[in-house]
Amino acid sequence: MEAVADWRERLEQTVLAPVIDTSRWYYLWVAFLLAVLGWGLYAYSVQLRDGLIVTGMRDRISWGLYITTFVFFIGISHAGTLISAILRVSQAGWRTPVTRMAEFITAVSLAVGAMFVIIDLGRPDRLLNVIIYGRWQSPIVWDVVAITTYLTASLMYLFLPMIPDLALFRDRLPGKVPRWKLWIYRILSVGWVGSNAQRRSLASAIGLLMILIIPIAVSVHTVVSWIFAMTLREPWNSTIFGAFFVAGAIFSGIAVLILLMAVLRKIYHLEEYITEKHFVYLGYLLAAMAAIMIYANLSEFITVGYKLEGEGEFHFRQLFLGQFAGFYWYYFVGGLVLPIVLVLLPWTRNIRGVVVASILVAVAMWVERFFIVVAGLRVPLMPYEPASYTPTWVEWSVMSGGFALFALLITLFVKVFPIISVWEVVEDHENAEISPGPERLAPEEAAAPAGGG
Amino acid sequence: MKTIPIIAVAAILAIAIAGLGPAGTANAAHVVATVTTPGVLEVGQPSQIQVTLLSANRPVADTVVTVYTDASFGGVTGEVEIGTMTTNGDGIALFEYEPRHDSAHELRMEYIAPGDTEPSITGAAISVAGASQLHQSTSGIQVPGLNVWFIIAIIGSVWTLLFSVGWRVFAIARAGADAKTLIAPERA
Repeated sequence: MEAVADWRERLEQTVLAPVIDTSRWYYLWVAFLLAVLGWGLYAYSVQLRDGLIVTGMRDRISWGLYITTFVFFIGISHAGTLISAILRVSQAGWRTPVTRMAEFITAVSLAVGAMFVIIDLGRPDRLLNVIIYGRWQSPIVWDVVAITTYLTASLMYLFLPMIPDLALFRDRLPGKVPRWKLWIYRILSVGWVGSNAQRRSLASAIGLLMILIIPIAVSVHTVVSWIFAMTLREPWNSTIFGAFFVAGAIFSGIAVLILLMAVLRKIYHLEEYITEKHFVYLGYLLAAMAAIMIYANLSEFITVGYKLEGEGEFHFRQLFLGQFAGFYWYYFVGGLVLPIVLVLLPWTRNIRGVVVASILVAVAMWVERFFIVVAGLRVPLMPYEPASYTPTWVEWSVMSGGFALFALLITLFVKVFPIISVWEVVEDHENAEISPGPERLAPEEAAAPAGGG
Repeated sequence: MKTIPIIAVAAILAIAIAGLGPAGTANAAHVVATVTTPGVLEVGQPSQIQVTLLSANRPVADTVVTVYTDASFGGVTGEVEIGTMTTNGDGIALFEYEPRHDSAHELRMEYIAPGDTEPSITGAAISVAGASQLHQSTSGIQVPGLNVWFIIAIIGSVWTLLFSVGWRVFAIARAGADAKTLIAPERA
């Protein structure tokens, strides 16, 4: 019993440590991110002043880096849904140490992703036109509604399981952190004392939300795909675009989650709680999603390519042999096939192998969004010379600013909020102590106590 | 001496007959155009409109007849060419006309008779019955029940559930306050 108490104390100290101690590297990292963000803001101010002419986008290829990045961020927002909701529904106990990070990614990537649509508008005030003149038949209006709903649900889903941990911070941190932080913990812990009535309400709220958030998340990326699929462009005429985008979103979400796990594990010494088992299990999910993506690619391209009507030939040539061939084959081989190999081969099925696979996947999924958007728009609608698109320094800078903002928000979150769901890890550990059936444990841990210590 | 004027008059007459005779048969003033329509047409049903060109009861062959009608597009109303036809050896030109909307249709036909430079005009008024508009659906396929209210119902349900989740946070806060109230007297 004492061992469990020690283990719990050690877990709490580990989770409290990032909030209490701040290293010089942290400030340097924040300064670097602020510098990149500042440069991005400057570039955006140039775009606001001179208009979208400072970008590489023109009338024929009217979407570029901004929409690519928007789709990418909305995609990785599915990390939280998958890990927190789907694995929670399926009662996968191993998920508990990583759920909070997944939920961070969801909330932050949604906010940053939605921002890129406004940036792409050129005139941000025109956003109001969607509300003033929006028509319910428009996929843009569906997208605004879906993303707003998903952002609200994701923030709630981030907040609810955090309440007991915020109460822990409220009780354990007085005198150790600034008063404003304690004020935040007191407000956000909503008077949590862990009574039975509170536990019932919390379980009921999380239970309802974890069911609700799955269809909301699916709807979000489906609607994002429909913005393309419902536009009259040959490469976007696909019936599987919705499913394809959702699969790609979960795929990239897992990859980014693994990367964040690796970084936070290293920096905040979470090795005891985030073990190789978590990387390997998420690696399996990554490989499964890669296989689904390969199937979706083959299914889409073989059916279209066999008939090869209209502008399909032009698109296939530019994608497989021409201007976008480098992007496509990197995506297919480097982003889909190689990660499966890395996860399945016994000698690369470890933390390093899974992290390398995740880097390949994260880059490949951004690249995939790029050629979906740009190559799709490049196919001529009439017999004119195909347009070209080269992003300008303004676009690269704004995009870099967006990624810096994403990293900065995660960095700041980590400094204020608990990065591991303490109460869930403890519950899972206690359950494992009561009933440590071998089926609950990874093969390599079956002989050892669960929880890694 | 009389033979000279007689010869001259005969020569002039001969030239006049030789020169003007064939032209007379093609003179537009002498060409009679008759337009034959099937009476009442149906929207979307192709019907043949026949134009017969006769000159002195002889058919005028190989004459191009161009057909125009009034139309509106993009907010502009004007006359548009809808087809051409050429008369055959019987002086008959056939034009297939498929009316795209109901009410009265005015067709105007132009042809330049052989040897003429200015077009001659004829026309026909056709009454068309049937559906009011063939080429433009009013608003796509209307699936009963699939409308804005359906979407509002779905979104409304989702947000109601989200609010009910939010309400549980208040329940947690209230339960916390109750628990503190219970604990406080014990401590006292």
